[in-house]
Amino acid sequence: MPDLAAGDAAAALGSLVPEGVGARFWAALASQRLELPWCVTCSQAFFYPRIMCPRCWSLDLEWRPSPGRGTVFSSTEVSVPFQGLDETDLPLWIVLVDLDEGVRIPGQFETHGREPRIGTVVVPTWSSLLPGPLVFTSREVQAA
Amino acid sequence: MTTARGTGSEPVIVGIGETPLGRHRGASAADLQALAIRAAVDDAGLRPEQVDGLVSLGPYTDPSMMYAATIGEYAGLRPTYQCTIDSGGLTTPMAMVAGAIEAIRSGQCSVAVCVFGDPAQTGRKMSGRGMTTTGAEIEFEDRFGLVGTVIPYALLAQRHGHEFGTTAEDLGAIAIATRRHAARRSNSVRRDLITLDDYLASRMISSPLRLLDCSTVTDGAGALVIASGEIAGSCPHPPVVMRGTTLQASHRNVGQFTSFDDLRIRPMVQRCLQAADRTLADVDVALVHDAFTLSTALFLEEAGFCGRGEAGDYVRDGHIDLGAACPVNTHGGLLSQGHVAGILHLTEAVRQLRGDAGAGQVAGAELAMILGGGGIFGVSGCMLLQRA
Repeated sequence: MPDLAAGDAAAALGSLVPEGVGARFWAALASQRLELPWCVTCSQAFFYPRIMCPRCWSLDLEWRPSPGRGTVFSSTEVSVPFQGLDETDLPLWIVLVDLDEGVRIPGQFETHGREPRIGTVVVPTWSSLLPGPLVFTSREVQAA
Repeated sequence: MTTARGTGSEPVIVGIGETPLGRHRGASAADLQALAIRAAVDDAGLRPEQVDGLVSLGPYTDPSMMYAATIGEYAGLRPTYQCTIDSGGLTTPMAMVAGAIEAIRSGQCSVAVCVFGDPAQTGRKMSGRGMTTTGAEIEFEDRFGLVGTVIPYALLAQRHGHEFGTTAEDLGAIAIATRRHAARRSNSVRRDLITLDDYLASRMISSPLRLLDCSTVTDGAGALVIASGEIAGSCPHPPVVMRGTTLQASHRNVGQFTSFDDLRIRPMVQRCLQAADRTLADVDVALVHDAFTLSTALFLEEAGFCGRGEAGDYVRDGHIDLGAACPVNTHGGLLSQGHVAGILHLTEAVRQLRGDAGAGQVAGAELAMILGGGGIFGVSGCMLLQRA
């Protein structure tokens, strides 16, 4: 554990102005890049973005680019237009992906004929027409 | 009847109340909760002016602050103990009852009502399906399409199948057995028996979860009355004592689920049994959270009623039916009776321990376990209730 007296809460709060703790993450995705928050103190990535490390509570954080490579932890094919989903996008695969950095992140999945079975190695695809900000596809499909 | 029942000074559950379930167009949460309070206080043989404690949770359909004050005002109460509790799902009514008991023990009140109710079927303020009717965006889930309640549960159902071999037939067995229970009871929304073919033919909502894996959304409310031992002596029904309450929390949203082990349900249940100096084999009836069929499977397995991945066989072998050593969800549960956030799991436990469950009665039930959670398994709790 770090010295919890160390680190400047006011500075951490100041860094949020004005868009909030997730602004950098969403801006990166909008530019077709995935960036993850890392704790400098315990040298681990975490998700979702927070003002402090959820493991050691350090305020010493930084953003690092991620290639977005990971494996499917779980997946579901959604057939009903739950709030926020558009009927025209159904059926829609939602996945939880374990990124190689050791964090789990939600996303959508473009099948190209290949379902996101648990354990499938996936990478982001930035050319998808699916509505989500982060869409994965099978690495094999992407490489083909 | 004014027979003293020898409960000493320990606070006990003396009253239960439920509204009829189903569609009650035009009814507000306050209307429903007030009717449940009225029924429970009447059941306890008490008068409105004797109620000096109030624990409530506001409606999921219309999130609001200070809901206990709202419902207290509506019912004309003057509580000396009051709070709004939202520890999550089925743990909320457990926390209500445990909190009311502590408040009575510490002298803050002597008759406390615990209540929840919601026009979840007809009173939604927003479009959408399922129980997710609140407006606040979950920034790091919603935007990815991880919305509502079914999708998160489906992700964990898929994972549960991958790790433990849980199949559609296993989940279907739970839906079928739970419906059989509901069919025997008057205050259940869904009472038509279903077969495995019905289950498999029900439409896929979010794979692997079908419509018949999902709980029944309904309008309704339930309430319990807790009274000091002194007051309980003059109440008409056999009192019910709380023998243990435990909770374990880990996350709010499914994206932060780590592993089934890390839910830590087994040690949470063991702590509760130890507090009551009982074992799982002593439990006569279990009321288990069943927002989805997966919930029943997971809680039965994690508690140790059966091994991981064995819930389907356990249910098919009749272990949750009437006549088994420990029937489960004798009221039909959230799946078939209707989803009133679990408070009807508690009223059913009390009814069983009183011997008042009619066609659904577990013969000689003395110890009831209430087991389950809220969110996407991110909080779970256990409570043991016993006939005094």
